[in-house]
Amino acid sequence: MSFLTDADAKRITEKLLAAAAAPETRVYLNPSRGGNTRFARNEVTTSGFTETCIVQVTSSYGLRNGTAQTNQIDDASLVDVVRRAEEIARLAPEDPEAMPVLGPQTYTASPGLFSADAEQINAEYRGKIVGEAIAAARAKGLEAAGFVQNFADADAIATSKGLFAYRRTTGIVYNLTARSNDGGSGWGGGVSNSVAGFEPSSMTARAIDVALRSARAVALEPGNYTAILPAECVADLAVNLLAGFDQRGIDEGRSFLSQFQKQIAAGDKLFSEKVTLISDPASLEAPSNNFDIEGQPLRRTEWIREGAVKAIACSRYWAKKAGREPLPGPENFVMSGGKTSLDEMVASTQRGLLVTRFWYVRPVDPQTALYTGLTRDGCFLVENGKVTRPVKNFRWNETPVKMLRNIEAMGPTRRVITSERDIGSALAFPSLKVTDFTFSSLSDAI
Amino acid sequence: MQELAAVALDTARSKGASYADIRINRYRQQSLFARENHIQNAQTLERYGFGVRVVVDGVWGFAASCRVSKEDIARIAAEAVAIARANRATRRDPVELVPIPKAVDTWQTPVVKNPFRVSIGTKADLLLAMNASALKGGASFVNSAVFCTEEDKTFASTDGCAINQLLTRVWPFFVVTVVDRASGRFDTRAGLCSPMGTGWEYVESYPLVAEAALAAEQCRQKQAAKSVAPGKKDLVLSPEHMWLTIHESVGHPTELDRALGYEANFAGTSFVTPDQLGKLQYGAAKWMNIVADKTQKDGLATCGYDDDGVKTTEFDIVKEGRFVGYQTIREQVARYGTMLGDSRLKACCYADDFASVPFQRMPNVSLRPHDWNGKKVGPEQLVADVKDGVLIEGAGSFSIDQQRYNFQFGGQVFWEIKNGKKVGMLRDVAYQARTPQFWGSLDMVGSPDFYKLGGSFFDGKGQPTQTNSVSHGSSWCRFRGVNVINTGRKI
Repeated sequence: MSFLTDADAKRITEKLLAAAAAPETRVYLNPSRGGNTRFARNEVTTSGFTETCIVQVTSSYGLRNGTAQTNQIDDASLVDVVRRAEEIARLAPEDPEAMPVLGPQTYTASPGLFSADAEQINAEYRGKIVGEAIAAARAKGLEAAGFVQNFADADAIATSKGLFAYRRTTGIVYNLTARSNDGGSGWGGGVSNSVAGFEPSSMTARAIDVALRSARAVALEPGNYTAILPAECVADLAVNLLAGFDQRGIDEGRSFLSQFQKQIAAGDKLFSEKVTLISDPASLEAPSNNFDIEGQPLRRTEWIREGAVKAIACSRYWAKKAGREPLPGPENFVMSGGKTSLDEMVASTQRGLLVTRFWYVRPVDPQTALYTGLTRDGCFLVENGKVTRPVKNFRWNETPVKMLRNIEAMGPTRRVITSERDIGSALAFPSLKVTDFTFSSLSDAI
Repeated sequence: MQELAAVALDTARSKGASYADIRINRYRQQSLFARENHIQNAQTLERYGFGVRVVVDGVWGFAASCRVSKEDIARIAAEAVAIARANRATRRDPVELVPIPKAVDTWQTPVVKNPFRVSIGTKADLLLAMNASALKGGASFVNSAVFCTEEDKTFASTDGCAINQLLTRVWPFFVVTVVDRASGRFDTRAGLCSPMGTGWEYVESYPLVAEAALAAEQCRQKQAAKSVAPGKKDLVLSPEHMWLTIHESVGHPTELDRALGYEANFAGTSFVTPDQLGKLQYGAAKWMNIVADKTQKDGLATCGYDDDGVKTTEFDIVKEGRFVGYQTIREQVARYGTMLGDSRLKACCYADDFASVPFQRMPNVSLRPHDWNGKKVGPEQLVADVKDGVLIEGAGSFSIDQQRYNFQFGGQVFWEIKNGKKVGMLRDVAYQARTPQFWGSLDMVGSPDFYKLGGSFFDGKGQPTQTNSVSHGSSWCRFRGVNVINTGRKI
């Protein structure tokens, strides 16, 4: 299936809008295609190619709204999806929070979002990455399991008030876990919008290195330790924190930030002054979308500057009701980093834990943004400035608020994937050395 | 449909496939969302398309498209073959498939009231009635939703299978929030109504409006509840809580693909290794009987045939505390059946979309209730013999390690038990345990009268992640001496 260009998308959105009878209509198109290859036990397991196209129509009759979706783009299906959206809108009760569709907008360019080289990735390209990973693992007597995925898609939005927005995105993600038969396990992975500069071999090497060094781990007493967290772990926790940056939730008293409204208004620092966190569609470190599902422009926003909260997302409805400016939520995060390498963090640590990866991170208490999760694929004891031995994994219970207050050192910012989300991640974080991280119980898992 | 399927199978065979199947599926979902006194959104979603799976020279290939025409099916079938060929160099052992009975059949979820024929107005009225009930009961905020889903699936394979299935599921849901502006404290309590593989009659039969009022009242109570004193305590767990504990600590560890390392990079492996089949004492011999059943009434994973075309069935996973059977799919039976001494076809193959590769997914996995010779044994009887414990209703926070040893679970409502009586509500409760020790501490299971199905619409596994709907049944249970932690913090 040939890809939908902006002209194709415009033509389809015009057909949808022409078929609409409702006073207001918003349409969204998302054609996509992609492939993936999985491997495990040092052999390829499954591999696939998919192509589809989401067509979503939201119709409004005053305050009554309805949304319908299909993945068929023939003329009859386009008319039908409009009819279904209008039918459901007419039957739906009024929504006093409904907002009118937007007219034309101007958008920041996202130059790093699309790359022609990534659009050309095929099963042979993925197979080469997999083959090299398996050969490297075998050469060290390890067993590897992993995943390579590529995609190319487009997003187009149009409204009955004349808005039209279109963008294209490409991406590739790779990650693997290498395991030894004496209890070692290591992980490596990364994501990029382009093939250029994407180095799966370094990710494979990292997984193999950690697997070899993490074998025969010993149990260490749970407790509060200084933790050296790679950028992936920092992102795992920090991203959850930022979900609480919602003005309505804060005003309604059901965000962990509700208790800090006076400090936020006064510009007080809630986090370490080392923390500056932005979103920016133009970022080349973590390229992201430049408009949201309503067609609102996404612009460079400083959410935290030098430890103080500087911006909070606010929906159009809540902005109108509370007399604020609307601010769409972020679709990427870039946290400013430092210059301390992981080795330097280790060298400056009297006693602490060096972590490779977090796993199964879940909320425990929204009042304190408390999360729980586990370490995985390599956890090491640091004593007197040196990594002394691999230790068994831990469950931890910690709030990212504390993590971002207790920073002792920061590494350079780099693009990462989090533990349970890979393709589409637009996150760039530094590694951190933090004090007093709560490791609450032992895990026997390898 | 038969003609379309034939194009895929013929194309694949002509290009060298030793096996091929096609799934031509239509998915429908209708959902409504409400907050407080108004409907926020009403949606009707449809996806339609096909996926072709082939084995070429012992290697799997897969391709899928939303363009359902003969030309596109031939193109995609050829692409699946090409993908299989591209991976030949990295396959060690060839894929083999055991023979299965040729199935030409239809199956559909038994439904009294098709949820898609229930009007939007009726659904909206239900949500608004739930919300009004919660607000009247003292909730500061309430969000509610109802989801109705349908999978219309056609499967055909070069083994001669031709199967049509229509799977229907419904899920009414709400969560209430109470905010105390003076203290700055906020608490939530989610509804205990589980998703089910059935029709709208289930939604009508569940006392949602009454439960919304109760949830608001309990949420208010939470605000003044005592913070739990941590330590070893006995737990009395409701069926609405148990489903998630069963899912995470028994369902996932007994998936053969995990145990063998096929999910090592993401979901993880399992402490239940193949050498322990028939030997591992998973839990208390008298009480722990775990059954997998993809034919169970109202089960979310219930269907007639899996996505290998294998007829669904029931089988034991844990019998009298001993681990006796993995969840498996057709391919695994050929490769590992002899090693395991278990070559039964268990029909655990599923793909969540036409565009997703079918792989091993969990059937309904449940803890059998205990037969007390007709005597009703529920929470009252279990609490009676607890000196210091916590009764937990509903599922809450959950996290478990990649081999399914160390877990931590919360809940919706926590009650302190002292000297055989429920004495008041607690908050800040979670329990941490190591799976085999936890199930070894099971010392009483309630009677069938209290047996209920719980479950999830969104169980994630695989790369790219696929979701599976799955149910877990249980009666009330009691566990002795479990590590309870206090999750309260100050920031």
